[in-house]
Amino acid sequence: MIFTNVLFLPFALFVLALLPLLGPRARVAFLIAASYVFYGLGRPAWVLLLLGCSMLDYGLVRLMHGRKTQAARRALMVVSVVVNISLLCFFKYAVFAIQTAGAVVALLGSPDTSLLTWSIELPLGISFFVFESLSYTVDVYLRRTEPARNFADFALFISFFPHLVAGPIVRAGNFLPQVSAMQPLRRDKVVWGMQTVLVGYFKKAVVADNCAAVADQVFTGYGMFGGAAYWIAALFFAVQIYCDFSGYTDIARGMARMIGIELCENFRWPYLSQGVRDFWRRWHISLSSWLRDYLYIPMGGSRHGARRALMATIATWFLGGLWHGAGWHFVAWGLYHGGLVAAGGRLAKTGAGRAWDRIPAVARIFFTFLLVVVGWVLFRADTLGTAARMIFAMFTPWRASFWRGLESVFQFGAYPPLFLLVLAGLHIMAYRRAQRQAPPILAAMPYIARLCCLGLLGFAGVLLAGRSQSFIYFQF
Amino acid sequence: MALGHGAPPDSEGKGASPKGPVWAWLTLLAEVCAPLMLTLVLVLAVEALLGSDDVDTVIDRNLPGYSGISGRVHVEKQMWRLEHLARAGGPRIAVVGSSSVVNGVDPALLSRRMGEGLPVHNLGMTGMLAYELLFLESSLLTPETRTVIYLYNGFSFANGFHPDAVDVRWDLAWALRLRKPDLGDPHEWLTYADRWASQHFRVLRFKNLLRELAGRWLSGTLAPEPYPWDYDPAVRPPQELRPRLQAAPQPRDSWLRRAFLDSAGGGETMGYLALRLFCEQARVRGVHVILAPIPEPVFALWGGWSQGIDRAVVDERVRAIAEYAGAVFLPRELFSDIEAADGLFLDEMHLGAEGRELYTGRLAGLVGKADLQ
Repeated sequence: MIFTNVLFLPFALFVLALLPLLGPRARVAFLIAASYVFYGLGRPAWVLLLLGCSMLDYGLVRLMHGRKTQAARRALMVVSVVVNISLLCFFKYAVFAIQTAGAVVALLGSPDTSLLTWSIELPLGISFFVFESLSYTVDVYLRRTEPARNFADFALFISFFPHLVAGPIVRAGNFLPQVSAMQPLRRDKVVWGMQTVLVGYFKKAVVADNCAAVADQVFTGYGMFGGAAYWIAALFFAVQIYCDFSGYTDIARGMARMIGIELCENFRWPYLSQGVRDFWRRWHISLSSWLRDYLYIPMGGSRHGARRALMATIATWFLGGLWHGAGWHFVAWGLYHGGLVAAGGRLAKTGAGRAWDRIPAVARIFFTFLLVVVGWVLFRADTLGTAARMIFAMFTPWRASFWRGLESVFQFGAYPPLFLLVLAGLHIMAYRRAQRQAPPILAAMPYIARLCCLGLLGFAGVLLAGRSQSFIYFQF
Repeated sequence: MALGHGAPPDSEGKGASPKGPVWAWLTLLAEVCAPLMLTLVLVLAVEALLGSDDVDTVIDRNLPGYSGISGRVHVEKQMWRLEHLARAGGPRIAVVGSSSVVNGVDPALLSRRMGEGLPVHNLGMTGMLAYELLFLESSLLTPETRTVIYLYNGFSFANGFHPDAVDVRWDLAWALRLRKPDLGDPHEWLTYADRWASQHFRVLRFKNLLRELAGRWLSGTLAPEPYPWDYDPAVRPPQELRPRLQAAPQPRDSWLRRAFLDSAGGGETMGYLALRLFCEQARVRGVHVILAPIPEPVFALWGGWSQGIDRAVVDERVRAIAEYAGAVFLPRELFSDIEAADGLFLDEMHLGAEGRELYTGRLAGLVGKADLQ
């Protein structure tokens, strides 16, 4: 099920209404059942995968926790890691590997193209719950966190429906202690949660889905357009993916908070970053911190010299790109960001770094945003070749084809750019408010005013929603 | 409204204490259900407004033309017109089909040539497939409709739903009857639930059109469409030759190519089943049905969409349904000279102004005779 489906509303109300009636243990069992129903409505068979994965990791970690020798603990940890990675590789990368092999075979002249069409259905959210499970095993192995008290707590940690299919990627150390202390429907939490859910819905259904129409038009028919249209499409896609993913996170966090669980922050004004390294401290925070803690640092991080740090950065970003999707353009996107992060790190203490620091913050934000927007072309294009052609066209404005197709991007008048300007204004206003640590607007309002604002926000969400699209991050 | 990520207020939960389920439910009612109810009330209020005759008429008078609007708005606009005319009621002849009908039949000319003074409504809708006859049944078979003329294309009898129209032209009951849902695929149920909501709320079904009109109203550019066709009548068919050179066929996973292949495939499809059911419904209600192909140019058979398609297979299936259901069938031979005249067509699907006039005149004579039978 997705949050924007009409059936999610009765589902969520039913869950919220029943929770206060239940005792702590029954509450956990009920939430697991609800989460499995939520997940099973995508494809019932996937529930077995989720359950199997949870049972295996819970069992292995229990065994590991009971062992006294480090060797036995390590062996069990390795088994868990290998099983999880294998699961992810099978569902997500087997097709990619086989199709790549098929393409190589075809290049060598083989007429057999059956490998090119081989496919497996990717279980929803597998990248998220496998990473959560992995972090749990490693954290217990490193004694950073205590193992779950019982299977129910662990099963809820993995399957909790607000974060199940598109994150944020939660850590056991943050989640498990909250399970026993969960108090659903506390008024302050409900007020904040409801505001967050509705704002998230608005971001997804109104902003992201409407921007998608413009971006999709150019990215799918890219041959009919030139560099100027590619810039516009990339800009719209930048807004789309931010509002899509952060909107999902808002709904997830708001819903979880009403239930009585805090989920970690996943976005912190990423498009106002003053450097690409800064961007990755603000964009998909739960993934970037996961990659840092479980890939970059174990590979040596910055503790073993510049060369090793560079290798660790590139390897981390290569895998980070691959995590987003099995395709060379995702790998290229990861390496592009890895290269920018590494360059930023190397140049920080040089003259170039000092010069960068001296330019006005607005300019730093602008250049960083441009770099990120160019990266989105790699991310959104269907193939690496398409992305390369588009980026080349974007940076060659002197060519006659640069302006091609621009009129069809704007065939619907001035509304799309106006829409983006209004959004940018709202974004900056909200940022300034957050900087002042002002309380959320609605929470500070009298009840009737809050009610009207929420009602109008919901109404605007219904009336202005774009054509329904699945959340982009579901494919990961 | 700020689209931000303010930190959760009062994350320690100070100032709030759990006071049992009743308190929790009151919170749920006041903070969650009440805003949702308010949203629902606003939606219902707009729904009621859209349902009033005055608003309906104002919108219908100011429907936008084809150029400069998105495909979504265009489909919603056509649907609005269809429902508006159905609400208005009155005796009529309804001509139904795809955009080939929108651009290929002049209703005023048809009415005039038939000489009966009965209004003719061109209810063509972009990409319309035969199964949609059932979905639109209540708007087509109104009590005073005397005749429905269904002019089909080579792709009309697809065995699947039209991906770009399902949000606007949908009827859950008929959809379930035409295609048994996959019980093992809950995703399909979720999709049907979304479409059910669109089917029952105009504010959802026509949201793109309403936004377009609101934008035009705010910018002072609200105006009736300049002409009822998609293409300006002054636009002439392209002068270049249409060489009979085989184009690369469109991929089979394109819905339109698949629709052509389904229709001429010889097997039972949703489209043929729906046409038979529609004719039965019409007979029960005493509405005459006339079935005929809309002219499609011969040169299209070399194009990517209808390449390799045997139109005779489709015609034969329709003729059999007409016979079975007591409808009148007008064979393709009656229009073959129009189909062979490349210069009458703007493209592979649509007649130009001259072609429209010629075809409408021909149709008027044939329908007049058929109606007298």
